[in-house]
Amino acid sequence: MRKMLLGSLMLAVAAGVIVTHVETIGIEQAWPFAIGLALAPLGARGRGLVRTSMSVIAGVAVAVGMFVLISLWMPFIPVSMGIMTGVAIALMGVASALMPRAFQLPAMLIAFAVYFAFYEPTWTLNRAGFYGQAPAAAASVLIALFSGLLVSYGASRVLAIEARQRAGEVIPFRARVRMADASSDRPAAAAGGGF
Amino acid sequence: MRRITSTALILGLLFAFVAFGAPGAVAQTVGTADKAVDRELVSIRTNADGGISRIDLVDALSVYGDGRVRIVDRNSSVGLRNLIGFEGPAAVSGSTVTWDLDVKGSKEMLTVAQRIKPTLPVSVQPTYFMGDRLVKAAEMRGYTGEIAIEYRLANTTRRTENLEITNAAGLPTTAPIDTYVPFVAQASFELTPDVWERIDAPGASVVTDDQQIRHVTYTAILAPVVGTAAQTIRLAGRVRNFEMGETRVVFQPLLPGNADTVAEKTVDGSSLLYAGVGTIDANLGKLQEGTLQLVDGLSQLYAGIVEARSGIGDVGTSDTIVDGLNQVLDGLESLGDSKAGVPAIKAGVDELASGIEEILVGLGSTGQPGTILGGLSAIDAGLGTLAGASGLGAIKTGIDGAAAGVGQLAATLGTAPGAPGAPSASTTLSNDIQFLKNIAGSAASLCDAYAAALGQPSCTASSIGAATMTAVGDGAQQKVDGIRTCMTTGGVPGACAGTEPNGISEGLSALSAGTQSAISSIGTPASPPTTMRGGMALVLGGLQEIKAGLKSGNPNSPGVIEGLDAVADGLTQVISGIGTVGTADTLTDGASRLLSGSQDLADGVDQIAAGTSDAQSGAAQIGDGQGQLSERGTKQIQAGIGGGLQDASSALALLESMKKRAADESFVYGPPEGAEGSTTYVFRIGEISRRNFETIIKLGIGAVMLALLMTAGVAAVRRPA
Repeated sequence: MRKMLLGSLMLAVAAGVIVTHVETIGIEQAWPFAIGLALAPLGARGRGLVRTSMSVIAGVAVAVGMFVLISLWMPFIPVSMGIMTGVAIALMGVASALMPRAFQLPAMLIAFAVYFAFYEPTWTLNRAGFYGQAPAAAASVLIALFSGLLVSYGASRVLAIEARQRAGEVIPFRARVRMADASSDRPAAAAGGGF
Repeated sequence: MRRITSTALILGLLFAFVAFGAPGAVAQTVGTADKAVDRELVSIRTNADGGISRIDLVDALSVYGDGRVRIVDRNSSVGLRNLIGFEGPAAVSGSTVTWDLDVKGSKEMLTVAQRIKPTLPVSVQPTYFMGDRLVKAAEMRGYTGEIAIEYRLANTTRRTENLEITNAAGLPTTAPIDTYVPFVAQASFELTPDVWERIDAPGASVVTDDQQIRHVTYTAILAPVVGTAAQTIRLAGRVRNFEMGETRVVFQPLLPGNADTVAEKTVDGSSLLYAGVGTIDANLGKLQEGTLQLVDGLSQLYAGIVEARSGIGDVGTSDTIVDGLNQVLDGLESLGDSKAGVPAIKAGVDELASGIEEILVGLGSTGQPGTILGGLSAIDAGLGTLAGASGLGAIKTGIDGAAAGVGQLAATLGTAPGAPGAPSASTTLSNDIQFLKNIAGSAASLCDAYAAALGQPSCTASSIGAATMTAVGDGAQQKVDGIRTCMTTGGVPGACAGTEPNGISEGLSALSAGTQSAISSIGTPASPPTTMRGGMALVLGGLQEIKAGLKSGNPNSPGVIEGLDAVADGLTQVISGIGTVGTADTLTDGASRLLSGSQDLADGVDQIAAGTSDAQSGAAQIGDGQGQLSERGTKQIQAGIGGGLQDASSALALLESMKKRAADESFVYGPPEGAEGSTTYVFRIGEISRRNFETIIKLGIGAVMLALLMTAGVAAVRRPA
């Protein structure tokens, strides 16, 4: 309970800082950061970070590709968006099914959704500008998601070390890192919840 | 399990295609559209420096009808894509695209042909200045300070055509004129306050919204007459961390408003104005002619007035009215003079009448001795006596008797006969002389004969006596012949003596005839007036008539006396009529007034002359003014209007040509046959921003984050708990 509150406090402070300095950071919108926080549950071990990161990139890439396909070759009608969304999700599902160690469907879907929500209004206003706008949106989404992911992972590590120190161990810095990694394999015990 | 999942996903993907895929073609009867409207939009993408990177043609085709409709559109067949549906063209051939559409009332088609390469009718060239320095667009990125951006908008459709216009003389002609497809260009900018601290947009419409974003709109007409074929719009100001989004410049092929109608009305008005001014000028010319004639008339009038004034003249100027009136007045005053004028005439007439009375007394009558008539009557009587038997008649009788005596005398003298007879009482003197001479000769002969017979010598004494007798006889005969010849010559000049042809007998005959002629000349009172007494009768009759003419005693048939009395009465009235100056109703007083009036008339004529001279000068000035008004006024106005008319006509012809070209030549491909349509050109000038750079930075940051995450993840995998 205490760890959960402390972790939440840390995430809240980080989110507040991000939202305050969203323009300075250059991610335009802060809400994807919150989604990024959710991608890595507090106390999660580091193993999942690779797959989550790969899935985020894949999800954003599929979303960008979807908009490129629609912009260049498909009619600008809802059906096109529906078809391509279906195709994109299907492709992500196939990828997660065929390469489960590399991609996880939830992270891809979240990244896809975040990019869709982030860029679709802009695309609707100016479809012709997707050459410059789509990569910019992708970069912003990736930074936001990765920032959240990193903040969330960092908080998990801090909580794990703090728990070991409270137990009376003197943990050198490198050891602290290792301990945090080890504790991330026990998410329920470390953070009291998550994926 | 994994295979089942994969299979399910693939089937789901296929289902999506099947569920949303294009509907299959169904064979149906194809009709034609009731109406079609085609709007082309040419999207020209350029970088921020104006370099064209891509041109797309977006074609909005509205089809009206019901059922399956076939419509043949003109479009690019390369990269053609339907933007609002999955329907594709039924056939494509070159630039002809055939669509079979299901239309329910109307159907909208929106297609895009990508990366076409048309010849653009317009161009946009942006230039950038940092301060006064010309720079590339990339250099502007993030700049803080004074900047200026210029866009040169140009219409590149110029073509020279021979158009029918009305020239400056109001006559139809053709002239080469540069025509264009008219375009209206519009450029819009949304300038945010965080970048633009101050703006200067000459000629633009600038409004600010609630976000403090300034909306700057430029409108330019790229066509002559209503604009210019090339124009430059300028946006300047002070910026901070400059960046600029995509700039759109829209070109639409149209003539704004009713420029052609205005031009047409201008031409019509100018034509009417030109004709009207021409009429005014022509009438001004006539007016000037009239004024010049007026000037001539005034000149003649002035000359006439001067002449009249000269004729009116002054006192002392001969051959003038005033002088003549003055002389008349003097003459009237002289006429009125009792010593030398009409009163004197009257006195003369009275004396003449008295003289005539005395003449009448002198004439008297035939029976009144001592008078002319009495004398003449006596003369007549004397002549009667002279011509009577006791006068010239007796003389003639004597002369005739003398002539008869001369004749008898001559006959007594006779002529020398050849054989004189024995003298007797009835023989002539010549016969006797010849007989005597012959006897003397015969006596000598006989003496000789006897002497001879006697043997005696001749009788000398006898012979001498005979010869003497012969000589005496011849001499006597010659004298007798001479006397007789002088008595009557027979009309032979020199027969008697000298050169006179007449002898005594002819003289007496002539005297007798003369006497008879004198008697005849005296004649009788009843003789013709060629005789003395006939003439005297006439003289007497004439004198009687003169007497009666001098005084008839009958007022109805007045004689000289009565006439002189009447003349005297008339002269009395004349004297009264002549009167004197100041006497009313008299000639002298009238003449005096007439003289005074004439002098006043002279003064008036002087004033009229001066006025006429002024009027002439004024009319001449008016004529000059009219000429100048014509030359410098109406003709210049007409020339100006003519120039304006030609300009307006050229403008109208140009506008009509441009209007036609806008309808015919503004398309890239054009609408379907029979459909209406238009083409809009949109230049999308690339943005000037740091977004791409920021994107790269962001992607770099993302990559770093990814690397961190991957590192952390990999490390966790390598060190299992």
